Amino acid sequence: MADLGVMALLLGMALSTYSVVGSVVGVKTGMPALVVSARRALYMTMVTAFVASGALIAAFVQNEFTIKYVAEHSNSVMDRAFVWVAFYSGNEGSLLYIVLALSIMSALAIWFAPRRMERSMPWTIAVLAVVQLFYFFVLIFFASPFELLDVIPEEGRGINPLLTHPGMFSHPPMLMGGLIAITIPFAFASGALISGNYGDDWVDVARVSAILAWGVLGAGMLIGAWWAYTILGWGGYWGWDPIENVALMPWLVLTAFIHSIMVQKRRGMFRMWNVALLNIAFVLAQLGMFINRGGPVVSVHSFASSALGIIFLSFMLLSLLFAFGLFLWRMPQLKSDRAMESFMSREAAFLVNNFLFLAVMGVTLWGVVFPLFSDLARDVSVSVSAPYFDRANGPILLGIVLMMGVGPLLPWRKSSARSLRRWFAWPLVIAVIVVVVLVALGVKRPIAILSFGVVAFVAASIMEEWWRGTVARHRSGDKWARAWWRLVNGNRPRHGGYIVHLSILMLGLGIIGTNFYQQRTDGALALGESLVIDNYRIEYVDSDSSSRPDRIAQWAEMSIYRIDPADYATEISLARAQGSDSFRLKDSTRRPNDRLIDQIQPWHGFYPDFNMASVRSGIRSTIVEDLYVIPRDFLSDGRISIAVSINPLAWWLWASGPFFILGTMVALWPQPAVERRPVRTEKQIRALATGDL
Amino acid sequence: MASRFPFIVIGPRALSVRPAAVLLASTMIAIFAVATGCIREDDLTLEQRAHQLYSQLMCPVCDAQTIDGSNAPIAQSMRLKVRELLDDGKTNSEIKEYFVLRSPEGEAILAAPEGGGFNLLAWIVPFFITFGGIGIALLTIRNLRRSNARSAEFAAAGSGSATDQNDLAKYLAQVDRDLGISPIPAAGKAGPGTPSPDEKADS
Amino acid sequence: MAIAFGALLAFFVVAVIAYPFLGSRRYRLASQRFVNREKLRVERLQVYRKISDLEVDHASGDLTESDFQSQRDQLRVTAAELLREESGPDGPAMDSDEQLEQEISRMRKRSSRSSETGNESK
Repeated sequence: MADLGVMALLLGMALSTYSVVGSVVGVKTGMPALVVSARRALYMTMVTAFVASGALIAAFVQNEFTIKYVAEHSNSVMDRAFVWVAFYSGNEGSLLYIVLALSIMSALAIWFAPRRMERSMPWTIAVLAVVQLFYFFVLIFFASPFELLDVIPEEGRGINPLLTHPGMFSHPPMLMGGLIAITIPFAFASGALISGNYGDDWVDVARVSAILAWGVLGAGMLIGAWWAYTILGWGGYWGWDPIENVALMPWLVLTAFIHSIMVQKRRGMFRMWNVALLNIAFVLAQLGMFINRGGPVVSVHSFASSALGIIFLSFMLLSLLFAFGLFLWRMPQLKSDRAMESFMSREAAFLVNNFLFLAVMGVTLWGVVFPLFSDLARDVSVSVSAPYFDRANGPILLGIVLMMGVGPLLPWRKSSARSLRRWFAWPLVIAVIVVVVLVALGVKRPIAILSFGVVAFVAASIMEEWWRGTVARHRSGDKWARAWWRLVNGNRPRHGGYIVHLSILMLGLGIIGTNFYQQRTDGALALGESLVIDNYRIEYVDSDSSSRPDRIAQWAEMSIYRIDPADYATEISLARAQGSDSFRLKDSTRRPNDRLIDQIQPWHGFYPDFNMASVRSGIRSTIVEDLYVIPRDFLSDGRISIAVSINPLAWWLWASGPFFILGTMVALWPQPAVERRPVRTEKQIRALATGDL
Repeated sequence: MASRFPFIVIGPRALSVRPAAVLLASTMIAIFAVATGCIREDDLTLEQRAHQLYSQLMCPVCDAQTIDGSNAPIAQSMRLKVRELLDDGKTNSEIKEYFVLRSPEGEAILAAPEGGGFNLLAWIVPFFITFGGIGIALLTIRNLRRSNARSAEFAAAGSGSATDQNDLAKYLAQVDRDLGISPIPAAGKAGPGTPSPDEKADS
Repeated sequence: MAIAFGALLAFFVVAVIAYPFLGSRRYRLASQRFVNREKLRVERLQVYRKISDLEVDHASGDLTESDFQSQRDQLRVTAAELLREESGPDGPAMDSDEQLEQEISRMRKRSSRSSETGNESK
């Protein structure tokens, strides 16, 4: 299989080279056959990428431990379902996966590109082929997944235990796929610029492909957060880890892009700006590849690090030069058709929102590189981690959420005082009511109250639009549900966007809840003992263990009781006096108002081959709050050391996922070429012409 | 009260750059101020402060993790130390200083850079980025409003040029016919599923 | 075995990219023309779709009159260009029948809002 894989990779590299050269030479010398042939070469790279990937997968399935990559990332007892995960669990495999994803997406994009773009297509193809060429080149010369071992091991090392989770079937491929997918809109924009096709022809293609990349990347990050929450066992879901940050940054820029591209589509403005945004997103995606695959910074994701840094860094710098060189060259041609008319217009709101997204991106980037600066300037290492990003980015993110409510309420061009009053009155009233109610309920933290107020404002603004649109259609005779559906269907990009906005609000609720109101405690329990926190009692009922060749697993059986604090008044006041929010009970006899609500099985596994522990937390999740029990360690005296947290509103984090995907799909769902718009047949035209209606 | 917000009453005509900018800037500053304002330590129980500190100290042996989330033995002992120091009545900053002085990592033991001097840069730059960004956005809008942008030469934009206007006229007429100037009823016939009949298919 | 498969793959790939230089030229051109015309037609229908989207936006007050006019005109021009390309030098002409043309435009003036085509026909 190794031979076949290497041959396929070499072919792929030759084909991408041919595709670049053929496209450019074909266009410059006016040889259509060469251009067509170069385009076909790019389709063929997809075939070779498939063959190479197939060869690697076949090697995994047949346990060919002569191949180093296979020996290091799988073993013969591994569940066959994990072959897919093992495929990209290391550097070489993930690069192969990236080539596969890129070549599939390139082929699809070229196939579906509108004919109008014919003039710029050769250049688009050349750009795509250059990027493919780079990855083939790296695969062949620096990180070949088909490298052979001199001594064939009896058994492989096995798969990284942290990766054996359902989320891993989709999280890494989605992130890598999303990052590399940014190449597609970038290639279309670049192609249009190089060929001098300055019109807005590329806008639709770039918008659709950018939303695809954005949706995949966003969903991938969300799944990653879910994976972290359920398996990494640190009680959080987003650590502002460098790898997470480099995926987040291009996503933020893409978010800005898919908003401002609507301004170009609708108003013919922001041409330069949109190209610049795509350039930034592409360069950031390359930065992501550099940090992800080149491994210059430490992170929890660095299981796939390598010495490729300098190559990826060079490619990133090259793309930076190319993107902005092209941009500067063509800048004079990218003027707006129209002038901005008012600050109180949707395009102005979009511009402000754009800069806020870029601000989060910039602050995040600053946080990522600050340690390097500190090293250089003072020769002192510092860490920049979650507390920094929470504080520095939190307020800007809140500002973005606020703009999410303001922007859609403003009309294009300019707004009259009347329409402002009409549209802003209700959302503001509702936001104020929410704030007043929260204050009345005794919620103390000003920032949390403010955040909830903003969320309420945005939710109300979306509901207001849906309400008014639906009522209008209902009046004209539709049933309520149908009226709403027709409203959404009438302008899918817009209402899909609203659904995504709603999902972001749900995410926001989860973030506010877990960030500001999380309660945590820890302790060690012997069998039969209980830990009481808030109004939960967690009783350690039983434990069990099993030993398998690859791991030693232990798990605990715990019962969760809802308690009445009055029953425990003395213990609670005693604990308070010691500055604790929780306390341990040696005697777990049930008190009158204890009510069993759930059973959880926190699980702890140790993998000797990897010297690595993996935990699965016991989670009782409700719409209001999660009770989250991390088994830190099974102590030798039979006790279990646990960390417990109560995460308010955490459920909403994961509930937002389906809405995010749904909204993205609604926004993207292709509208049939013509719908409701009568395109007349020859016959109808004749009928019309002869008055025979 | 809600609709008595100044910017709504003023209305767009009276709205020059200033009210909008002031409004936005003050909102953002308010958000920043509230968000970065610390919670007073004495409002919290010792345990809450302990967990706060856990998430501000890095685990020396882990990759980019705080001791809060780490199961490593050293993280465990650091947590115990934090608790011990808190019980001794130390303040948060004293405890952090303790770790900075004692651990081989020095300042890198803190999850976020602290103190004055160069580290202040870490915190100041975000302000500049944010307000600089908003400032640029507002200036851009103002400039776009003032500039006399090209008039909409739509036909000349893109690929078409003015010379073939006449040639295009008859196709335009065809397009307008296709677009069905009289609306809707024929809609059902050209449904989405069936490709709508090509008007040139017969020739 | 692997070598043989790899050689087969190489042969296939080379054949595919070499095909535009060889092959039966007439067949190739004819089918190419057909495919292109189909693509152009679908694209034109999509432009129509966009025009109808614009009309929806306009009707819902989301788009001002002048923006609506200028953008629709832009799209109409795009559609006309596509149509021209579709009809091409060797493609079928559309309603070249002059009489029919005139009749249609007369018909149109009678049965519709004539304002929107006014500025274009001059």
